[in-house]
Amino acid sequence: MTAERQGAAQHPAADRPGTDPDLPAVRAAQADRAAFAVLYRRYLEAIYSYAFFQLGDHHDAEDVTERIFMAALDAIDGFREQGASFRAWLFRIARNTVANHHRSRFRRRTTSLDAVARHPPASDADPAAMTVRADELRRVRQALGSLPDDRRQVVLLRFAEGLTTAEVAAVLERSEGAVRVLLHRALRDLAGRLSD
Amino acid sequence: MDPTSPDEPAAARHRTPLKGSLVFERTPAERLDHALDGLLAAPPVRPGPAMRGDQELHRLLVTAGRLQHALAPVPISSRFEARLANRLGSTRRLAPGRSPGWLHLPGWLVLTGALSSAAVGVGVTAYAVWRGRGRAMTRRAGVR
Repeated sequence: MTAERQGAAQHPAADRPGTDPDLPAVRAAQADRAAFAVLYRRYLEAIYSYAFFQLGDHHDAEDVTERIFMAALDAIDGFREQGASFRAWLFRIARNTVANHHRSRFRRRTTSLDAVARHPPASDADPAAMTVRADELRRVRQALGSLPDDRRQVVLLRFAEGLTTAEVAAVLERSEGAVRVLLHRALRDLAGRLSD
Repeated sequence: MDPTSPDEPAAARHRTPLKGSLVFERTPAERLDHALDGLLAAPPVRPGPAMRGDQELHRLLVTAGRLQHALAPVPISSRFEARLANRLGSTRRLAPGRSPGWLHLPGWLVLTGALSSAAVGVGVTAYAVWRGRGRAMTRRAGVR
């Protein structure tokens, strides 16, 4: 993981107005689309992971990731700094694109998660560790799959993407209180399922 | 009633004394969210000893740590990364979402343009009719 991507995962204080760390890059991209490359590199991994965890297939995740970034580039002029952070704005596009993808396919594909183990990060090349991770991911995904969609979205956005409660609320267009309650219920549910 | 419900009665909320006499009321969902903020800010996740007093919160934080570990970023094919970067680069040159500056005209200018066009149209038509009449009169005079 590059330093830039790590920065995106931590994303300090993105939920407070006027402190969105992506704003300079967004303004640059609005002035010159070449600068969108910075935002692309910063969020590619997060958006791809978000798509993959919901679709369970690398080809679908690539297809959806491409559409998300094309849509974001197309709409970048419309982003305004008041309201949600750029990250929340981008994930709202991602959420809608994934939902459209589900609708267009009529059914959800649940393909092998061993694909994750076939493309391990360089630092995690131990086969035993890969198998353990694939098994754990399979169990977590099964448990996640049994959750209602809104709870699953909250868990993915909070844990896989590291969004703050305020950002998750902006993505899902719910109140922060509602997001906290959804997350609490989702974790209680998952704790029960994963402890079996 | 679900204790995590936003409309739970105040008596069901936990009271957490903070500095001095200040007392904050928090629902279990708010306490969990607060704990998760700390947990997500500094991976790897290990629920602190302070959390162990609250068995339920500790159980949820252990689950949260497990989720965070399992849902680590998925590696991306470098070929896909390069292909999409190229695609975005070529779209930049075409700039589909951005129309040329001269298309962003104020309304009054558009209205003036439309009226001018209409006036020119009416003028040309009137001239053509006048010419047509003039020729017809000349022809009639020639016949006589």
